[in-house]
Amino acid sequence: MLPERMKKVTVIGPKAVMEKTVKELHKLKAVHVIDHQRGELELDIGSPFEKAGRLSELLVAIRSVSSVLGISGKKELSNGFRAVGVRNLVELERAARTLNAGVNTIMSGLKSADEELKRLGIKDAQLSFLKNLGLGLAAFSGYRSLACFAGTVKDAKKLRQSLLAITDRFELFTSEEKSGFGIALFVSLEKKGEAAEALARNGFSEVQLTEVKDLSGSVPAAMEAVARKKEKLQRQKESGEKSLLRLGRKWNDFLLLAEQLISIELEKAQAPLRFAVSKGTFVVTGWVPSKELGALEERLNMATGERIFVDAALPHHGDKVPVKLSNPGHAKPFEFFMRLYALPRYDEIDPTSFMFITFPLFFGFILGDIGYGLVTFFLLLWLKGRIPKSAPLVNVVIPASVSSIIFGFLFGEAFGFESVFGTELPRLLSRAHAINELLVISVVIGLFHINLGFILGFFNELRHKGLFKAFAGKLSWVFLELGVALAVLSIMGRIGLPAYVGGGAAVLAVMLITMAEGFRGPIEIPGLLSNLMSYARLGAVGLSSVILAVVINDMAAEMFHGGVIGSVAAVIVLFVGHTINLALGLLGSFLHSLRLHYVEFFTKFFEGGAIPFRPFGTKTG
Amino acid sequence: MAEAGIVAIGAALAIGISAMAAAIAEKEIGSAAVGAMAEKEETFGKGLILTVIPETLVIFGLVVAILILNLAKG
Repeated sequence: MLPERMKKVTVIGPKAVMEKTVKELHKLKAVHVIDHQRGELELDIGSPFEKAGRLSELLVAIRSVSSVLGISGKKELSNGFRAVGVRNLVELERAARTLNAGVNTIMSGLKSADEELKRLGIKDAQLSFLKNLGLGLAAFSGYRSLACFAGTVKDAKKLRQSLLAITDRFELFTSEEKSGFGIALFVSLEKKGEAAEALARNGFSEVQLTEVKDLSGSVPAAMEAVARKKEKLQRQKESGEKSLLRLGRKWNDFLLLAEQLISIELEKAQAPLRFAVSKGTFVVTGWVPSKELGALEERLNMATGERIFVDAALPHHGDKVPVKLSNPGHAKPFEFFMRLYALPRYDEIDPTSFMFITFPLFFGFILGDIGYGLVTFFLLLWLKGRIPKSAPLVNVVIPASVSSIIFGFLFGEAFGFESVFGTELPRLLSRAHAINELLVISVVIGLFHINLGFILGFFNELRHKGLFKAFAGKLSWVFLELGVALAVLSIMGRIGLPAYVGGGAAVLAVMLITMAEGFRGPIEIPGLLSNLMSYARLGAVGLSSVILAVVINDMAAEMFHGGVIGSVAAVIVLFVGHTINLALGLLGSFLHSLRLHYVEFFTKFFEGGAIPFRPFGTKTG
Repeated sequence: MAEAGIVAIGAALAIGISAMAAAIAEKEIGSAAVGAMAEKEETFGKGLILTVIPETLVIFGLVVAILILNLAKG
């Protein structure tokens, strides 16, 4: 019931065997290393092994090349450097450097092609501006008494009028552009200022003709040259991109594996940063599962030639022990729910094995339908084969779907039908007709579930708060419920006890709760009632799914009377309707069952919040 | 028959209004919870709990609706 038992180990040895120790610890993957804080025990932190700098440089190079080449996918790393296709670090570095240089050449080629293309684009625009105006390349240079303007205005006609108001000694070329007009204005130098003002009034914005200034020849010829150049660059760019793709395909596996390998090597090389060191020795502290302690000692001694000392101690009160859940194989999938919520603390009961029973029970109770259960079951099996990533979720829902088939037989339902081929399904309870009974059963299930929570809470508190507090804080709630139940039954005259017996027990229980939990305790009492009522959802959510299924079936049954077209429509209605209802039902059953655990059940005993056990050598992120 | 209709309306109001109330409450909490989750993924469990707390309102509505319907029968 408790998480895996841990021991706190301290490994002490001379620095000479530090590297061997790190290697062995990494291989063992059994020790959750506690980072040493500088100054603790008057010891400094260690400095990384020499090659750490080289390794991290290499890792950065590999990662940057990977991102440029768009490396993707997954590849299991096995047998170290040989898997990557090299013998040692030096060779790997050389290979990475060659690849990096190749990629960089291509990248810089692509970059300069891009820049050139951008420049050509500007040139092209300026040339076509001239072409639209019908001007030559030399139109703007070599004047002594003329001022020239080139640009765009909103309205060329207005501009001409305002220019005429100043002088008639000007020449204006216009062309229609996308937004407004392109213009070129030549005006005598003495009128330059006034002309500029007139232009400004007409929303003039200048077009710089920087790129075409030094060109000679005709505009169309220049444009053609630009187009030719552009095409050539485009081809260059494409071939560069193609060779990047080729490189990416060729080096994909190498980069994937090298990245993993170097991260691992780097983790090992930087491990001393987590250790405490003195002049000649190093100290590693960490947590190890008790049952792996023997193997750890043996392997470390073997690797270092007995030059190492391993000390193991039980966890102290207040230690932040990392938690590794330990459940039998059949309950293991349900650890998923704990990871989703919070890991139980080291000295707390791990509710996984309870969820293994109650989660499928609740799920089945809500989605109790033979048809839906079977469809879900096979759908999940198929999904698990297709998408391995979904396995953690699927492994939880498969037992739940089996339970839903079982409850389908108890309720006698298949796709909402209560009879199959004219024979009524045998059943214990008809959900659609015995609504009150269904709700009462739901709340009774809740009563058991909540009290199980209180009992677990009692055992949790017993461990660190003592018998009285544990009893008063947790079991009193059970007695409060019993007391109230007795009192109500005696008032109703169902049992021959005076009402004050039950009432007295309830009052006593409330007093105990107040003593254990202060005034927060009694405030929770109405909450207990709403917790209990909350279990009515077990019946209610299921009921809504039944009613929806019945409605779909009735609709389809009507349609079957309408000839061939009606029958086809009926089949469509059945298929679509039941698909939607199943999807809703699955989502609802899952979330509501989960919520009953997280909100109603866990709050009675569970605190959680432990850090997960991450042994040195397993991936941290 | 008219009386049955009024009873049905009463039951519908009981569950309908409580469902709306729960929805409004969950909207506020849910958006805050998703915001917290975006910052810190571990808050999923707490966020879920806080988000579904108002759901109890609907359950109360349902219980009252069933009581009303039973009242009409008896």
